[in-house]
Amino acid sequence: MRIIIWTLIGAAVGFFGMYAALSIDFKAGFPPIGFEVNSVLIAITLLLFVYSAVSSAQMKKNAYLPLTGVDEDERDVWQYKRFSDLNLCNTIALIVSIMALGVSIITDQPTWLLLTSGGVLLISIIFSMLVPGLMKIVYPDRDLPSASEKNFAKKLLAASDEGERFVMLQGYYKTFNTMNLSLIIALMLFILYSVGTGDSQLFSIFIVGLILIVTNAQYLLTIRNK
Amino acid sequence: MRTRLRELRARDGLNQTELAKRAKVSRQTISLIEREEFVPSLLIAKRIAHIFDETIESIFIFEEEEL
Repeated sequence: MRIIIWTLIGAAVGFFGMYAALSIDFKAGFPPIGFEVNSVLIAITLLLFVYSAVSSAQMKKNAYLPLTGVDEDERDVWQYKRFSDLNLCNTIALIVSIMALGVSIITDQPTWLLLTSGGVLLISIIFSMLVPGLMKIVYPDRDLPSASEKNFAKKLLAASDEGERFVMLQGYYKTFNTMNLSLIIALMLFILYSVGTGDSQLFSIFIVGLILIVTNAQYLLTIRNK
Repeated sequence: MRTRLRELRARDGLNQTELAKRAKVSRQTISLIEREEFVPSLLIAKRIAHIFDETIESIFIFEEEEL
């Protein structure tokens, strides 16, 4: 009975959602605000750069403080959290800067804005290559691979101990489930957008569909073959 | 599983970082074990027991229904 009620609620939400989505004029808004969107995306990336630079300087400074006892443990906790935040900031900066460049190109922005977006993306890439090097400063006693080494991610996983892998597994599993759901929602939105605007998003639909198939097949084949 | 890790660290005056170095694991792993969120492998349990000069069973205490 409960399943039937939820199915009916889902169908009603889907019907009215679709009806509402089809009545929205998607096309009207975006190109005129392309400049503002582009500028906001660049500003967000620059703020993230500032945070990353400040955090990285603080981490380097803290790494050389001669601490003992509880203070040493607290420093380690702080460094670990700050390093995680820094990683997240850099990932967001990289994605946002790609989006900024995309908006710049697609909405035909002035050359200076296009170049700025490209420059910001370049800085994001450089930052993301520098971040793994910080690990060596934070954990000087550990035998960690260098960011320039081949198969860096694989070697880093191998260098992690079982507790760290346990934490990573929890994170990856949550992420995998969230990503699956998000990409399916993205597929639905692409279809809605295509129908609503008449602009075919078939290319994106196929790409997202392919990503979903490849990642799920990779995961399931990995666990199946063990 | 309950653990006496925190108590034994206090007894021997070790912080988590020092214990982690001696047990050849990360401080995060020691912290997870102490918070009873992670059951270590036999190898790590053995190393920890060796550091405190105790038996594994006296550090990592399982309830009857867990066994």
